[in-house]
Amino acid sequence: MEAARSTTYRLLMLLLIILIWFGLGNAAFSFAIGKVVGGAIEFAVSLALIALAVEGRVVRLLEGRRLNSLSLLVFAVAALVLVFDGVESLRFNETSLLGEVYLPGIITIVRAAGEFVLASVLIWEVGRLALSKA
Amino acid sequence: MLDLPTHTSGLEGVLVMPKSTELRNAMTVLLAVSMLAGPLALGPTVFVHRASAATPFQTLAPQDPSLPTAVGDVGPLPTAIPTLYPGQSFEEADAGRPTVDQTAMEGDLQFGFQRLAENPDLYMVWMTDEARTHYMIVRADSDVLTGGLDPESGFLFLVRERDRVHGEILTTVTNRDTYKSSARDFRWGAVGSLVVAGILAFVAPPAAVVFIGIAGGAFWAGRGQDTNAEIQQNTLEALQRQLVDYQGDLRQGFLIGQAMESTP
Repeated sequence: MEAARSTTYRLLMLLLIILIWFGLGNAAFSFAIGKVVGGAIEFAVSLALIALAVEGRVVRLLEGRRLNSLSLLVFAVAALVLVFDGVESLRFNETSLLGEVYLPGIITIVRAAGEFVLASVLIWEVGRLALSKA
Repeated sequence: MLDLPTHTSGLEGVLVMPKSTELRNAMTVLLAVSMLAGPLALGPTVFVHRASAATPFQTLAPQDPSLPTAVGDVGPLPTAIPTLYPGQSFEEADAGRPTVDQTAMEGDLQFGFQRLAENPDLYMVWMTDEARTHYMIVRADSDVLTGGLDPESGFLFLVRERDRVHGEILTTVTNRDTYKSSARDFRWGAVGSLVVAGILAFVAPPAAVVFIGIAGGAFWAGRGQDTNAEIQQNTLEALQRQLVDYQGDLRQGFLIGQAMESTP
């Protein structure tokens, strides 16, 4: 039971980190292309998610519960969406525009790299849980 | 008939003219010949010292070197102004190159032209290749500038077209990035909805289905924005090819002009 709790806690924290990384990446990209209002909204939502993760009450509330197969399936789909977003947005030839460094292009590469890493960890965790259930 | 002495009233007793006409003529000829022969015969000996005649002309050194000059101190020498002429070429590092005035130029620091303040009949054109920027002076009516019979091959047309394409590229990039940003926001929403659905799946399974539906909707909305971004990307690539073509034409026009202007 303790092991299951600990795995759930880790998984929930990982999902929060994924959402925070996604949000901060979007906010940085919006600021870089001059969309200040959009960037501010994304940044505010990301800050709320950070507060949720740091405060930890929601995660603690849920960590006592056992994950079911539907949960694992949905989290696996979330990991695939994450990989899809990284592949879709990753362009190495957009780091410069008209002979000058193009900051949004660099932000996209950094963000996509982070998404690939987080998606890999998520798939690993989901896989471990699925195997343990089986 | 004998000639009698002639007496004039003013010169009486001073000037006495010879009585004989032959004698008067002989004296006149003797005087005329002596005026020519005298200096020729006696001149070198009497008036010119031989050693000093061999010495080249020179000024005398002052006896007292500390003697102040009568004119006064000499002011600073003016800086030489280089003469600019059509066909003259410069490289980026050349010291004598006219400066590019960014407020007066057309184009940018890579490709452009400007009328020279030093001579309004002349223009400076410049282009950048893989190595560096090259500059050339041309007349206002030069084919390099106007294109001659083909105005679309001159710097006046190509530089302005390049500026227009530049502007369109920037607009297209902004549109593309706006669509990309929207698509990512939708995917962020999709992932968030899936996380909530996953949590609800072990707390309240029926509610999870609703969030799975929301996640699906957000994902497809994101795909729509991706499609718009791809359309903008295609436009962008077409504009970039156009820009490369214009820059190639500018380089070619410059090199042809350089070859023509340097031909006498």
